[in-house]
Amino acid sequence: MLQTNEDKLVRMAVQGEVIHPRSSGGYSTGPEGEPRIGLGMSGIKYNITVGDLCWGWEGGEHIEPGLTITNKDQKENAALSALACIGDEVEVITGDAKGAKGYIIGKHVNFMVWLKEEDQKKIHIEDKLQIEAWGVGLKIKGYEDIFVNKIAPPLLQKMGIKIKDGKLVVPIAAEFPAYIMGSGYGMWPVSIDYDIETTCPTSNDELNLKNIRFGDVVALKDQLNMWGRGYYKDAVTIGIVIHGWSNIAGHGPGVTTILSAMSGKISTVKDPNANIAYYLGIRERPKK
Amino acid sequence: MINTNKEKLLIQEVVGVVSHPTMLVDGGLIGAYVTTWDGRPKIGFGIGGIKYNVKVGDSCFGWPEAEYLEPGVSLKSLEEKSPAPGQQATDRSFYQYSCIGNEVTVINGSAKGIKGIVTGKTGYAGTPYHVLAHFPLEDLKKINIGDKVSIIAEGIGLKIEGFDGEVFNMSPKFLESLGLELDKGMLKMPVTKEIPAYVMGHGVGGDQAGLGHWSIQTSPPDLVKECGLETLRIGDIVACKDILMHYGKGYYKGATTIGIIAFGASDIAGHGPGIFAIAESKSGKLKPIIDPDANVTKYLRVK
Repeated sequence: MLQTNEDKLVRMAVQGEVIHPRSSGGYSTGPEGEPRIGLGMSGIKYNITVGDLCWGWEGGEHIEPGLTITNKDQKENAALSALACIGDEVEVITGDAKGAKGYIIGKHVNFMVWLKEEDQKKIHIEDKLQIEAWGVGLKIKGYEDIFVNKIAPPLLQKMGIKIKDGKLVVPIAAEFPAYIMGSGYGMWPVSIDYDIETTCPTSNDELNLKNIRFGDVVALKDQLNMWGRGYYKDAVTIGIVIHGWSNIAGHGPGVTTILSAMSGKISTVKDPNANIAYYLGIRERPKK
Repeated sequence: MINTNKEKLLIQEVVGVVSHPTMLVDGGLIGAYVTTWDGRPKIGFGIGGIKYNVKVGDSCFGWPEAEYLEPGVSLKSLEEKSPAPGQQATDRSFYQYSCIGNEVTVINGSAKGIKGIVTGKTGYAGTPYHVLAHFPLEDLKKINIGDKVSIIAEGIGLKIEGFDGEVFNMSPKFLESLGLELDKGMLKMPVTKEIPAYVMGHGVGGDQAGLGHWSIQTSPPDLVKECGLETLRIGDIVACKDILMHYGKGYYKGATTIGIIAFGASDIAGHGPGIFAIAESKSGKLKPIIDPDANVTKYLRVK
């Protein structure tokens, strides 16, 4: 158990509703100039969730797993955006899936939610969901200089994090160098993810980017996600993969950052099953 | 010597307006600051308007409380939103068609008839699109915010014969002023510095090369020192290694993109002087030649 201040955090309700997919009405342009229809943002995905591969979906462009919610009031949405965390509990409060429960599984600009398959089939676009937002202000005792962001306290406890030699040791599925971090760079870690770029064929192979799964816990080297988002030598950032592959230059699977610190505070250990699908009990963890 | 298709390019007018300064963060009654990489509040001004004492050739660093400091006169489009459903706004054409070296003329107000030159292009998520223009100091004082300007836009579609790559955002005259050589398919271009991919920050994933900028990170201070960024000046020509700005902006191993620094440094994590692209080669046929004087002031002959 990590010692945290979770009992001192405000737990409060925020709401959102399932949003319809949108289309820009034109082709998106790939890095070599190829036109393609990109689909996958917003709406309800019946067959894609955490634990699935990000790569390989036909026409997939920033696929958001599960269902995507927002709050149509701009000021209310700013609060939803700032307060809800990955792993927070969600309940459907209107429509045929009323009473169904699930979890927040990521934050792109909007949040993605997992529901059980039978509930996912009953929910409709525009149905409302309420979230018990819990996690803003979370700190790990004795490690207050590690920046904790957008992670629900119970999920943080389930990630297999140990303390060794004064460092947090975080199980990760993969780690990535600073040069491959793309769209979302320089933006605010609280409000948006940033992408592992998948538009250089050479680095796709060198860094095994086709193996990335929705929900993977990953490490970003020399990256500091604290008061902003940028390069800092030997800093380590831990994040969760929240959306899919991209064919737009500088884009790719998105990472919501959850832990970040300067040198010497966070170390990592490889675990191919470091994925929130297993931590949240959404999928059964493969036996070793 | 290089050969181009300059005689085939369309030359047309675009019209813009001298912009008012804007803030990076809108202040409320409780106040709002930009937050620096290390958690300090900063006012963060420098976007938009008319700068009487900041021009191309000046240092990117050392301006108190400034962020994204744009030199000279910052121009915006006539309309930033579509005037009616189904109609295109003029902003994209204004920002895309304007090229460095294009002539700018003030067409109303007390500065009517005064001429300047395009020196830069900016814009990406969170910061507005602008075309940056230089005017001689004595003329600058006659210009008012809100004045209209005409730009003779020429440069879209410019190509260099035999070069396996693309050029962007340059008037033919500016391109010729660089005195380039194509040596066995390799295009040599003067730059003040080479920037490695990991130093490139906010702007990645942005528009095609003809629109917007991509920033060189200027925090933390150790990174600035490590990469020798302290000497960067607004208007410097720089080479970005393993970076491809063409149909979009992203990492691409083996590619080189050369661009021009449009504005000053930043203390926000992942931000810094923005580069707009002038040339790329995915196949490595663009060779940067280090020249400490490779700044647009030299080629545009402005002071």
